[in-house]
Amino acid sequence: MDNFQDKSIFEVDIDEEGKSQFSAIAQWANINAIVGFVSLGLTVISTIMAIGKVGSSAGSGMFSLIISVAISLALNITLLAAATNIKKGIEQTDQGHFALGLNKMATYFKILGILTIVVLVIITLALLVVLVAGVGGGFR
Amino acid sequence: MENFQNDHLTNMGLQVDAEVRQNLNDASRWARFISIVMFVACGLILLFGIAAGSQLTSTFKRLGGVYDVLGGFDSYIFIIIIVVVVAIMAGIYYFLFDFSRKIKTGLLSESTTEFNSALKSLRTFFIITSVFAILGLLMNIFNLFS
Repeated sequence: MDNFQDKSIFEVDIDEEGKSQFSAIAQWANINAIVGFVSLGLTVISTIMAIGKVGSSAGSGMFSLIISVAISLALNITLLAAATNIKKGIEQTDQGHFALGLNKMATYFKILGILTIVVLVIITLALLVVLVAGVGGGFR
Repeated sequence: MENFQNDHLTNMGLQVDAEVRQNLNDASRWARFISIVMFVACGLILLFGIAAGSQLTSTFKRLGGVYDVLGGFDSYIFIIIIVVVVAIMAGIYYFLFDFSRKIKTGLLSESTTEFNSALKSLRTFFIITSVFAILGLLMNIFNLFS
């Protein structure tokens, strides 16, 4: 039993194909994170421009901007850290960086999972509101 | 002696040790959760879209403003759009689900083929999401300067 545990923990090597797949994952995750940062910048600019035009309802606009900036930064910084560390781990054959990169990747999916729950709740509520509004309109 | 050293060095590659195994398990668990939630969401969107397609288009028409674009479609076009969007969403999250399934079996059976296949699915997931992110960014740039 002990021998089996030792074998299963320490003797699984990552072959050349695995390394190449991890490299590609890191590369695309990097692109994804950079695009996310640029999109965030654009969102900030367009929201500030919209707030400047509207003026009076700037409070709610600023609030949603701060929330989306915080979420986007948390997601993209984690994804970028994952990509950078996995890439370093593969290139330098550094187990520490590699493990850290995968840890960040797991954290990225964790944040994404929590966001998925939040978004689903919001969509369900919005759909209910639209349907209730539609049914209410039918009675008029 | 030299041969022994060379052999020893070539064996010092990257390994799926306990820490990596734990991280991949965590990533797999969350990826599975996200993909299942998204599949359920796809089903619900499809159900709502087909069942209440005409109701929704009339509601969008009445709401006006930004919803005017959605209200302008006939109900069957609206349903087709919903089906296409749901198919794309399900396709994207299939790759994430495939990653989570294969990485788990790959780690349990210590099968390199299954492990590499899981990584291929994750790579495809990142490629597709990146392409959509780039398209979204281009649309944002277009909207900002138009």
